[in-house]
Amino acid sequence: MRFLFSEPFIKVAGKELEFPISSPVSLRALIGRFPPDLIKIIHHENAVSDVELWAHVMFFNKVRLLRLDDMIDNDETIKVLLPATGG
Amino acid sequence: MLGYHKKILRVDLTSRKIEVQDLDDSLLEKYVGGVGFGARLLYDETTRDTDPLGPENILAAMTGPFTDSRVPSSSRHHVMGLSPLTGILGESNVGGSWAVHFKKTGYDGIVVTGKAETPVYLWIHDGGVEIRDARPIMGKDSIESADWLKGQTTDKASAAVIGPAGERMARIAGIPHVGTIVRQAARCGMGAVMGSKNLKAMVTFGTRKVIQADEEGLKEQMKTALPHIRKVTETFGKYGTSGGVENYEKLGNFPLQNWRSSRWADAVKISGVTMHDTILKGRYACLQCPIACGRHIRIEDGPYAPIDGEGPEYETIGTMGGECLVSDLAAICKANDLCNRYGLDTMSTGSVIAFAMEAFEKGLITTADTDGIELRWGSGEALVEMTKKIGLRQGIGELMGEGVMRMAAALGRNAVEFAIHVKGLEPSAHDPRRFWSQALSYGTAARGACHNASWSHPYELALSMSEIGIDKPHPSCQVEGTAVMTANLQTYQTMNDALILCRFAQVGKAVTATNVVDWYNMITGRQVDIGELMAVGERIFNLKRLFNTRLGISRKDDFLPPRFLTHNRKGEGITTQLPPMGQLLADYYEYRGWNEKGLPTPEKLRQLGL
Repeated sequence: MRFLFSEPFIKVAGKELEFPISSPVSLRALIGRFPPDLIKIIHHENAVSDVELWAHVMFFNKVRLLRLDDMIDNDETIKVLLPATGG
Repeated sequence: MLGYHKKILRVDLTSRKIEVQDLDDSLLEKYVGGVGFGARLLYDETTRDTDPLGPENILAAMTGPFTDSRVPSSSRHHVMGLSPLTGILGESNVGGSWAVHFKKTGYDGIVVTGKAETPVYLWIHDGGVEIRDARPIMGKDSIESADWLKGQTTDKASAAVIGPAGERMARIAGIPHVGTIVRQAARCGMGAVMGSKNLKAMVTFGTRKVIQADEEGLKEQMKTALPHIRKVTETFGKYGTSGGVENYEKLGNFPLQNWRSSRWADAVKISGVTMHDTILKGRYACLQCPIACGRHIRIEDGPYAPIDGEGPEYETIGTMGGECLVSDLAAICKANDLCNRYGLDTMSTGSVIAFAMEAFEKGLITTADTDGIELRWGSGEALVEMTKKIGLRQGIGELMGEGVMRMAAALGRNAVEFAIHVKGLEPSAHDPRRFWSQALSYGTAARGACHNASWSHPYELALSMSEIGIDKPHPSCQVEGTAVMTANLQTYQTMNDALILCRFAQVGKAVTATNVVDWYNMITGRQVDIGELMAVGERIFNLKRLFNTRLGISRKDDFLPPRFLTHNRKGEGITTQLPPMGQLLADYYEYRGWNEKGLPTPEKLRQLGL
């Protein structure tokens, strides 16, 4: 599976990260494989809930916003974006 | 009841009479403050025949019980009057420092009526209020004027001061509030109401502290609340309100080309991340706010230099950037700076320029109308030049300053088909085709196409609030449950505008409904639950609707402009269904206890004590 990053995450992670997986893995577990600097800027180390995570980063599978316990397959591409709040 | 001074300052500029109106506890319980006080006054003191730009209109600025307390993100107030832009209820909520300084003078709000013979400003301080001569600063922009006003009063003061657009009564003029930062009460043409009264500014600074029931308890709560708020809003504060531009473009929420396009790769060029990485010099915060979402930018080179001050917010970037397809961040910053100086609503300004660009493309206006300016999509130069013309009411800028609805009527032919507004107010930068709760919110908000009435788009994405029945984020583009969620959020946000608490306190659940109730009880000494505060929100929301129905508003006015209901968009990630407004409104009216025409029923009014 692949993560596609947007700014500001590209500066830390590059444009994409690929993790080959043989069976579905939770988003939480996949994030755990991120480089430490990336984990730090998405505040994952403190995120105990989806809402806390979504305050700093959002993971989308097409238009679906993913939760930490959602399972990801090897053929999926996940977009990583800053949260959308607006004015 | 504590947390209030229980006094409203009243100034009649025609007679120069100054009075103090006492507030009794029953009014405080029923309407709480802010929008509640303003809506009650507006309903009671204007009629169907009131001219929004006549001396009989009122201009009200109201604080709430949270103002000047330890509650974070509460340094705001609610400005209200009959709107010259829409002809119905006008309101604008604004941050900065004015509200706290004003409340410290010993009042909860101010109501200005009448019209001064010559331009004046009000100096409101601990010792009272003075009506002073403003002629030396007429024609000057808001920032120059504020400098002069502080020189005449104190440099610690905050000034609600209009610029040339308000003086000349552009219907899209706002009221810049200049303290250490600039914030605008931008929407609904409240700057023109000030201009119509020959009132250049309201300057204030005070030192009186309001008594609260359990200030120590509130202080103790802040020891855990503030670190939590800082933690969950850290990313929001770092990149500002426009941090999510790229996300919104991908989701199909970002407005593009006067709301007719679907995809725009250049969105990233004007995002909060790009701003952060290029021109951001620091962050601004409203008084006592731990979030600090305001942008301090500096541009030292290029055609728009120098700029050193407030950077554009998300809604400004959406309307001046996305709607006009302008990807030149410096040009947007310049237009934003001009709006702050002239006293113009950036959202209405960006929207009317986008509308004019489409009219230019369709041949309804030409360079003969624009003094030679090519009003082409994507032209940063045109954006800046038209902003100048609107602010100074020059050439076609005079008509554009009347807003999209009136400009479309003046142009005639098919202009109404691409005139994007609801009840005369241009929308915020959130696409109602993407978030159907926003479609309903645009349709039913008292002031017109307002996203803040419900602030529901985050609740279709990531947020929940179990205290008011939203146990999980609501599925987008689904009829079932949308009316209930939208109505409940409108009621909750109305309550926030009465207490006075910024929407952004909801980011990442920084502040919950439970916190809000606890803090209200600690300040006032009452013991209410969320149900009682929601009843206040519902009462005020219905009172605002009553005000509008008295002026002829009904179901016919709650629909969206044709483009939102007929123009579909394409592209990966774009939802293709259009909001079924007929069904959404029927569900909404039923839940609200309104009849099929959208009017509150006698039973509902009795239930709410109206």
